[in-house]
Amino acid sequence: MTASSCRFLLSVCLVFACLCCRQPKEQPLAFSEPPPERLDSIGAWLENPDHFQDTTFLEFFDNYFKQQVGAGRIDSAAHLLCLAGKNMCVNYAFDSSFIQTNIRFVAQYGQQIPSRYRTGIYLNLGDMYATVENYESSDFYFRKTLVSPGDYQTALNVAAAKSGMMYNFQNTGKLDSALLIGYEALDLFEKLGSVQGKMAVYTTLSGVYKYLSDYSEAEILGDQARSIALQSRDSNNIYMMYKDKVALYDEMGHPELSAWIDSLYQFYKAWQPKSPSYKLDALSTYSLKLVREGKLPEAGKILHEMAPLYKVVQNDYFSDEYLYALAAYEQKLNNGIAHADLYKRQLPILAEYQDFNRLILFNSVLSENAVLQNDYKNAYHYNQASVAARDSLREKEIRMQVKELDKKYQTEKKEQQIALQQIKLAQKNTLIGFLLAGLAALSLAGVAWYFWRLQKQTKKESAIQQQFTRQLLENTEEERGRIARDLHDSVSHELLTLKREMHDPGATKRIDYIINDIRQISRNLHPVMLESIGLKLSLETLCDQYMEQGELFISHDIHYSSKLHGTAELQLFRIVQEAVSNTIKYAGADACKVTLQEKGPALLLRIQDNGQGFEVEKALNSGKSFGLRSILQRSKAIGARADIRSSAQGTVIEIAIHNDII
Amino acid sequence: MATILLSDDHPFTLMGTKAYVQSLGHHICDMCSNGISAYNMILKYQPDIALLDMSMPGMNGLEVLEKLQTARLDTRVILLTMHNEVSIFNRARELHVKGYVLKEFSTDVLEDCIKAVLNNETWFSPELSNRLNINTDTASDSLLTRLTFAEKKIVELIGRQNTTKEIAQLLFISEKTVENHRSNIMKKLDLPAEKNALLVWAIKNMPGK
Repeated sequence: MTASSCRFLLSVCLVFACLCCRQPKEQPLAFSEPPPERLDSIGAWLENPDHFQDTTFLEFFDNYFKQQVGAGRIDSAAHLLCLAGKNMCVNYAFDSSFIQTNIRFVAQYGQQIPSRYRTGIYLNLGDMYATVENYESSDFYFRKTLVSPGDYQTALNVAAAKSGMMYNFQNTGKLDSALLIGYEALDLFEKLGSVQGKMAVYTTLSGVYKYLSDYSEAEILGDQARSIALQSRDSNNIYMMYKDKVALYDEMGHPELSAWIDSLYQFYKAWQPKSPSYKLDALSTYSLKLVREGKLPEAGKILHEMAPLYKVVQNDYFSDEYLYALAAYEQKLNNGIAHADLYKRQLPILAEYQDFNRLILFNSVLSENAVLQNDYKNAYHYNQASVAARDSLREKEIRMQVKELDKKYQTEKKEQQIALQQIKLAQKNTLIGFLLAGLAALSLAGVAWYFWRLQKQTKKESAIQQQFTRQLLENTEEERGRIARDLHDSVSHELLTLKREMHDPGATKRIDYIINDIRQISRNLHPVMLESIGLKLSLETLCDQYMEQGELFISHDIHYSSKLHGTAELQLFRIVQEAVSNTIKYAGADACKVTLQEKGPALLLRIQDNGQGFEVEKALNSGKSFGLRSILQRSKAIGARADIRSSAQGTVIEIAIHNDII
Repeated sequence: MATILLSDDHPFTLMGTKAYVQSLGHHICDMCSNGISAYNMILKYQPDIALLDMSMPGMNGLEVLEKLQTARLDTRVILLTMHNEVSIFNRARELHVKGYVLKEFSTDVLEDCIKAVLNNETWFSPELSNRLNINTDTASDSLLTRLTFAEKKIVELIGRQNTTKEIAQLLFISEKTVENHRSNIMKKLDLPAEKNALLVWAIKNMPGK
């Protein structure tokens, strides 16, 4: 895209942007649309872009302008200045005196001029300098337009100025700045609801991206511009959009290029504009397509027809296409190059715009031409230039690919980073999970340990209790034994001595009774010489004694080969005493039997009766059954297992003890 | 005249017994007051008779007897003791004691005992297992008094018309034991060997329940 073409497009759009301030808007506005300014006939005349072609335009303007200034109607004068200037921009004109008029007027009246006119003047100045590529001056005046807008028109001017600056940046190679300010302009147009303004910005932005070889972005923005154009039903703009698309696809080498060229051509045919520029452009583009398709005669015919038109149209933007198609045609035709000098003239411009495709074509055509003229030096030179252009194009493609790959790489890198982060997150979560599990396990372990400790404690206390009971029993037995022995040995003997001194038979008899009583007491206290006599004999004697005393019919079946410790034997003896005593007291039984059996490693003691029985659980829990409890305690103390069962048929007490318990 | 070893942990008893035995014309080879010494002296002197107390320090009378048994010594032992216990007596009998004299009656009978033992006989106090209770059972029927408690029980059950089997079950004893008791009872009561003689007698004489 050449500078002039951009400029033209921009101007066109700007005009429409300003004119469109009277159109209804759909979006919310930063400022509301003011009512249309009523122009008098002069103003209206000056405003009409067609009238600029009139050679008296400037003169007419000057007179009327001076009139207004002289009459002190500054507002009116400023307004006229704006309208005229806009017209000049649209027509791509540059007039030094007109410019001076503008500068002087502003310098003189400054703040008196309403903001919307003052900014408009500055805007025009910026535009005009831009057309002659005086970018420095252009930027100077564009910047002066950038005030804080207080009304709609001023805001619009500010946006247009930004647009202009974007365009300047693009042309001076400051593409990043161009994009930046372009988006600012876009935003402002959006707020103002200026669809035309947006379209202009989209178009320029698309161009910048195309220049950056970011074709996808360029296409997106170009499509947005085109959709606005189609809505506006402005054929000029629509055509321009088509042209942009074709240019883009041509540079991209897009497969749909032919289809779009057809679309452009169809549109043109439907439109049939009066302007020769469009005709030239459309038909040139179409014939280029024909050349590429190999339809040379048809292409040649069109090009031949267009030749006079080419001389007429001065606008490079549209005439370039003609040369392009022509060069391609001549090359394909291979019948000599007729317009070599035309192509030669294009070279520096193309080099500046880095239009490699055309450079390749033109250089190769020129080279062929040189060869035909036997100018081998130049032939070689042009050939090299063509090759260089090809290389540059290749380089550009590679750079593009690299950029694509880089984009992909960046995306992949980002994706990998995300994946990594997710993994890290998952790891963190797993870690947290483990920690929590660990914590739970730890607390569980803690609880378990606590209960284990508790149980141990309880067991320990139980063991201590057991020990105490055992000790108590032992001590008690010891004491009883001692008392029994003392009673029997000492007291009995003393009584004996007393008896020997007695001579009264009645007294001696009574002493005998006493001795027997002592014996009884002693016997009851402690089984006599249990260790020497043995458990079997002692138990049998016990049972016989009960029988003889007429207490209870009691039989015994005792098999014992003395393997237990003395303490154990004593406790068993006591258990039998307790059990039988209970039976005598409570059972009301006919008989009782005491059995002692050795079953393998265990010793089984059983005391059973056929009395009325009792409720074991109830008795044990009543707290009054000392005898029953003592049986259980004694069993426990010697490490035996006690089992008490009772029914209406009778009671059975079983004690099981292991023989190896010492 | 025999050699006799004395052992008793009561010094007065010992003196007394010594005097008594010597008055009978026997020779006291030695005296001691402790079971272990007694045993050693028996080994040393090998007396004809060892007159031992039951409860002595070191070893009691039964233990000495046990040891003598294990050592296969056939020294004749007379236990002179206060213990009027069937169990002790039975055990002593198991250990081949020759004489068992209750101290409270010893003055009268010790001479006879020694004489018997020297004659290779056994002599035991007749008062053994005599339950001298001030409160004795006053049974009007003299026949009933001849029976032991066990026998009385069996008669009672017969009186209630229980069979031998039933009686055996009730008393946790074997039928054979019941039969034994029956024959003993019949003997004691001088009943003819008729079928229901005992039953009839029981119903007649046992207080109804």
